[in-house]
Amino acid sequence: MILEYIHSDASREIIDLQTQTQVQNDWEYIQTSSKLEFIKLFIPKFLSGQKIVLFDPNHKQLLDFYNENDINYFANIQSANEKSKLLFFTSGSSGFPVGAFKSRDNLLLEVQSQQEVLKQRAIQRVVVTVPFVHIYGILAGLLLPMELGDVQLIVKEDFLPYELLEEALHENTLVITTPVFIKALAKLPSEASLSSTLFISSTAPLSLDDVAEFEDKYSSEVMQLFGSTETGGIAYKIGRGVKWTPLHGAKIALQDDKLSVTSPFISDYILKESIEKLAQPYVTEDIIEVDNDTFTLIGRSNKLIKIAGKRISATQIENILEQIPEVNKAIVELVYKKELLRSEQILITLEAKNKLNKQVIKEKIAQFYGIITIPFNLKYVDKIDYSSVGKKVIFK
Amino acid sequence: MIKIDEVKSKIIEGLNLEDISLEELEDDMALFGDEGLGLDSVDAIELTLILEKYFGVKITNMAEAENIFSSSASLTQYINDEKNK
Repeated sequence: MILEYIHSDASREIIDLQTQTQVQNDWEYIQTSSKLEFIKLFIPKFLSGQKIVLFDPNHKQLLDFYNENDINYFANIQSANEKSKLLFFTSGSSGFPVGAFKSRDNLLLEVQSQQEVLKQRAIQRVVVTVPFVHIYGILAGLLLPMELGDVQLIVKEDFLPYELLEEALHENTLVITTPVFIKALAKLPSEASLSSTLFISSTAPLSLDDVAEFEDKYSSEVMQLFGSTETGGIAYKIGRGVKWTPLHGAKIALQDDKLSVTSPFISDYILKESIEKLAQPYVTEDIIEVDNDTFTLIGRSNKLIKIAGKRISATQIENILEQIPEVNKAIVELVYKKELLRSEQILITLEAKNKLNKQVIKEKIAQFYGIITIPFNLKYVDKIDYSSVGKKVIFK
Repeated sequence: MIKIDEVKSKIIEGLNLEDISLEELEDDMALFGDEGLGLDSVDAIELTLILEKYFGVKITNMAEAENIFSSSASLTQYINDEKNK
């Protein structure tokens, strides 16, 4: 496969990716923050059948966990080893890492399902703005272009909006991106038409207004993908509708108002404190309404919040903050700020002995969640106490 | 001529840094990285939009942005240089 890599000085390098390498029996972690380095290492390893571990090397908690626990000797690893080729790590809902094993079938069947949705389009170029350490980046950003065949893959470490617009102007381009860029491009004073370019967005849902603003401005289309690391892709929607259509192969149902999925993309095994077999159907925490073969997302059933696709436990962050000696009590809430590119933020309300430097809080959260960006604002109040039902409330 | 406090106000307002005051955001404080304000690549995107919207200054590539965004002072300098062209 041919990769066109854009360096930060805007110079371009064409790289013919090597496809074979020697395979080791053990799991191998690709530890790099560079997209270019990652692709050069990942493609030959994956194509040769190497078992690969993936997570953001800046995520200190995951790195510590990985360094302290040899995956190759985990109890029951033999079962997972039978088919698994990739192991994605994420922060679990409790803050403890969760690993999702993926077999080649999990990945390739999902990519074929994505390709099925795109089959009417003559895609010639794929521009990727997302990192590759997460499942969305691997599936849509690397394996999909490989499956599409004769396409040019264009990658840059970080794009600015005008740089991405320039790439998207080429005919028959597919852009693999996130809501941040859809919203940023919509704000540019540009009159360009991107009518032959399709944008795929994932990690967080876009509001209908944001999709409409973008599509009207550029005469282009946005396809959103919905899923998680454990489930893989579940559904997609194109344009400004509210209804999600399951990907070919994924079957959805309703269980106690929650989304239940049966699909060949779901991990057979996950790693929590031990390796567990994952049962199907898999019931997510998403509250949905089902309408024939489609569904509408209504909300989430617990105090887990999702920021840029990452599950964050508000209760856990409260507990983390309450470990800081100056903090008596903390309340963490999700706030939605539509005017910002990163619309999902958390508001931290503290009852504290004195005001803290924001960096202290950032570092404390980073010990548990890595340096993933959790945008937050701080508010101080005189008193936080418990209500009669045990819920924390602010006393003004 | 654009004053540095005007630029800082737009950074604070545009990036929703409500808990940071103008005084806390020192002129030479690094905007990105662990040592300074700790902004990241998404904030860089947001900053380019803020600059264009409020000061009519366009930044089209990341290499250029890395120098311009190093502090509030360098950002202000860039805006004024562009306006004087």
